[in-house]
Amino acid sequence: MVRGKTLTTCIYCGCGCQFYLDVEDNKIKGVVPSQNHPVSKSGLCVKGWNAGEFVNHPDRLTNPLIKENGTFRKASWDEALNLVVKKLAETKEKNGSDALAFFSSAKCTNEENYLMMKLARAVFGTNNIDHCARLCHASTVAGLAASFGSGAMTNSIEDFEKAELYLITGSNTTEQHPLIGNRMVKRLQKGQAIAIVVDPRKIKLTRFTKYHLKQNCGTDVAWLNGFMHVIIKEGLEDKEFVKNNTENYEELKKMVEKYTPEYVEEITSIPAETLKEAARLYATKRSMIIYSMGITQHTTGVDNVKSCANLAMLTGNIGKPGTGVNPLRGQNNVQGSCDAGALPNVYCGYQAVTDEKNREKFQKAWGLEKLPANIGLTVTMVPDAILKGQVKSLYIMGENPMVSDPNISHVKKALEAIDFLVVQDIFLTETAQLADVVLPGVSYAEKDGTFTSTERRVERVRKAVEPAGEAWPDWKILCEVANRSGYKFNFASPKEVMDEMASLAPIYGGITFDRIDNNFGLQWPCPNKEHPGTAYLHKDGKFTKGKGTFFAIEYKPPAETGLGDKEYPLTLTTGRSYFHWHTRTLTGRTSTLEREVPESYVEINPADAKKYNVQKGTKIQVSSRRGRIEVRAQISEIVKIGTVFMPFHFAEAAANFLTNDALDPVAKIPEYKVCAIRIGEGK
Amino acid sequence: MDIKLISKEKVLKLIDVLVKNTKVLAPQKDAFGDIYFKEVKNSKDIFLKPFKPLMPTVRELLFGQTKEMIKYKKEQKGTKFEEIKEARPAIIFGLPSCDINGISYNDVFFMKREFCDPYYKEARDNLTLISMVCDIPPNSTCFCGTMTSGPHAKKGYDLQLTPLGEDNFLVEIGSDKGKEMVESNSNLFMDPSDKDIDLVHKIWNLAKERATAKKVNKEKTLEKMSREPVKEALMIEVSNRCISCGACNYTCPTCTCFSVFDWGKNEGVRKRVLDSCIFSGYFRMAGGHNPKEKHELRTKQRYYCKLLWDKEKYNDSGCVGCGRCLDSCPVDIDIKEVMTAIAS
Repeated sequence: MVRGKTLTTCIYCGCGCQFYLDVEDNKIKGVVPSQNHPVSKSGLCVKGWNAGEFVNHPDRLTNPLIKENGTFRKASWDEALNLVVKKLAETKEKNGSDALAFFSSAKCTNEENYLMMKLARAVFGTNNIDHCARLCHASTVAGLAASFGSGAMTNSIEDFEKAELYLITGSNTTEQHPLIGNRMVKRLQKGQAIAIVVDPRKIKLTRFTKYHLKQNCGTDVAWLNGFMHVIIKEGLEDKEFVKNNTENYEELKKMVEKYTPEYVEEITSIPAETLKEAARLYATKRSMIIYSMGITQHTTGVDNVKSCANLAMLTGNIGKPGTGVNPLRGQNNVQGSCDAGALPNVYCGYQAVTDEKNREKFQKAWGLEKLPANIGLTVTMVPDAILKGQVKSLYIMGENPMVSDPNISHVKKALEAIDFLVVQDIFLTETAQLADVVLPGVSYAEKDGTFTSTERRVERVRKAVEPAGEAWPDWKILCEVANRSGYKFNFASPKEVMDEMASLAPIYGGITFDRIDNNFGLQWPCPNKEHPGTAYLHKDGKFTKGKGTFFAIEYKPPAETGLGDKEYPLTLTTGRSYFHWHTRTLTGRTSTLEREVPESYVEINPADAKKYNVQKGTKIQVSSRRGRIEVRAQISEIVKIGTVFMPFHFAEAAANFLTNDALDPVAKIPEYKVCAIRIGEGK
Repeated sequence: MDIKLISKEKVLKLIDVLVKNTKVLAPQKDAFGDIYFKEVKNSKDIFLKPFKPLMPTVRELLFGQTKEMIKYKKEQKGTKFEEIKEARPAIIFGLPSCDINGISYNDVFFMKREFCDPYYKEARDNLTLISMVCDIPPNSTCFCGTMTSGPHAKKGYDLQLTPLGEDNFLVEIGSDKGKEMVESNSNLFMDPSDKDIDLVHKIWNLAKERATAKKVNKEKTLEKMSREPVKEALMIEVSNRCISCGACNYTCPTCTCFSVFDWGKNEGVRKRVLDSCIFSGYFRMAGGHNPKEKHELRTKQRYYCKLLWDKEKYNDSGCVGCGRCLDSCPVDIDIKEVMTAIAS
């Protein structure tokens, strides 16, 4: 009987907490938070405390599966891999490289994401590689890169101890990034900082502030412009900073002129006086902007992000400790998956595929004559591409679009129509059930690698137990697929994969396993082996791209909203529960978490409940132009009148049957946060 | 008093001897600065000072976060069960008095009431406890003296060591198991002199003083709670901050709540999972009604159970003053502050 503790990184959100897995006889007995880790500091959220349980679940996939006549049968690795390789090669030969698409995974390691993108590009010759960042922070990556030159959280988690004011918008931080939310709670409660919460829901953080600005869903550009209008009008902008470090200010100034607090009130329903007071406070304190999906998941996601960047630059609240524009990344490794280049437009380290010099660099490194120069398809474009016959084969690793993507009926139609679908996962998810071949990967507890947290901290994931059954670490599966396709992936371990990635991505240039094996990781940019890492970006207003750019952005209404819609008069906004993670693949198999929230629900304001005669706890019909579901009603003041909220976790009564698959024109992120619905019968 | 003296050097020798026959778990520091119980490979790696692991010993070794109890399989003739036995002998070296008191509390809860829990008993019978008196509180959150539980355990240990200056430990023998251990290794132990006895009393007194430095009026708090309900506003204030992680229960050496889940429909495992009264599912009934839907009612439940009801059931409050609920709380909710607010 061997008993021991292995320090590793949490699988849930982007906080990057570390804990010990307490293991006996190859079974996880419990989780103990790290006492010295800079984020955890002896604490974890409820998901972290329970993160060991699903690893031992009897539902784990332990063998490759091949579908025959509509049912799965067990197969050997040889048989399954050969079939995958044969089918992918056939598609490439018959329909060309771009008839293949690859979905990588923000739950997997940096090394695995690097291998997946290399598999797509180097082995199969397509840039059709993307992952769920498309559904969460694609707008951030695009927006902040345009404004500042880098699409990541500008500051660090330790900066929350230094700020005087938190402008929190579209982030239910205490529930979705608990070990960041806790830092704000502590300082707010002690009066060491103040908060402005701009959110249609009465989230926990609103209990610590008198500034809760309840905007109408999808009107963020308007209130952000309103803030800037007030600041400029009252001369509260940081003139020196604007002059020395930014460009395009005059255009912004002209544009915000018309966004008077009164005009903004008409659009957003935020009282003009409150907006003025909040804007003054933001401008005159050491202020951090904290945002998440409430800003990004809109058809104006990139506009929203750029407007946040505008506001920070206008007041000089950037490039200093305790300030910045801080998108909180959702998945444990969504930052890293982007860094590793699991995106259709860039290689690892955000090097554009459209730039010939970059292509030459990667062609040389990978020993290839030619890499594709076109930007590939995004996750959200693939269903249409399948239905149009452009994409014939799809390889999905660790994603579950059958629950997570908008307009599920449409996704289902596409996945059923595709010629060949491979799904690599640890459980037979709703998506895996539609696959032709299922490859069993392993959980974070059964492999080595690195995750990159929301604060750009690259930290080790360490193997604590042996893989379940015949399952293989995902990096090994990807190497085998490449090797059998005639392109050698010569990696004996994830360490060697990181060495190659670091040699090609300058922001990771100094990161090696040796440097992070015995500590809590390094924050990129870390360009060389002596570099200590970077706690906050754009120091002293020296932006990654040189000068920061103001974008003059007008407010555009959401693609669809309940406001003024006669047929579907209520507005649905979606999000997550504290106790579940995304499609419940993991938390649905964790006893305490599943018991806490065992089924889906819709939050309705008491006034709306009265109006529509909805009783607490009863099941009601909710429908949109795209679908109809039956779900239990929760009557709650959390949501404002006219707005309802649903978590998207549940495959039964999935909120994404209702959501709108309208996309942001640049980032191609869907508008999960606003759509029109009605209570009662519909489509 | 059954007491002995042992040098620090000989303590390590004792462990070397014990390791030959039994698994010994002792505090060791890892590369990341955390100290926790780890199987001893080399006695030189042992952290030989008072320490408090973040997870109490009872949680790591007796009543864990998850425990598989039985395997089951539905067959035509009925359901087949198979008990899962796991416990094997182990010696725990260096646990603090809060953990000894926590284990004594759990012993009563799991073994000495109307029903004796076989899983707990099996694991408990296999454990030998060598505790250490905290002459200096290992952590700034410690207040065991204030709660009149430590730092010198009255009972519950097999052997209890007190650091006696730089070179020696005084050894108290607390059980037959402990006595046997001393007797079979008698060459390592000495008899303490009168001077040693004088010194250890001084150390115990000083240790008590240090562990009582954090002032909380325990008696007044309990008396007030038994007389009138705690103020709702206080419970709301605490609940507003609470982010429902469950850590205060998970790390408490005297929390005993668990729930039971079956994994697998016709074939699977029945397991016991550590529970927390801060979760709404803990109270929710089958039909969906929840008598403690409001967070503040659950917060109130926790303080009443820990402080007052335990006193009514077991003659003393369940809080041993280890301070782990504060150590592990992401929002720094301090039971001492709550008690002070209740008492005032």
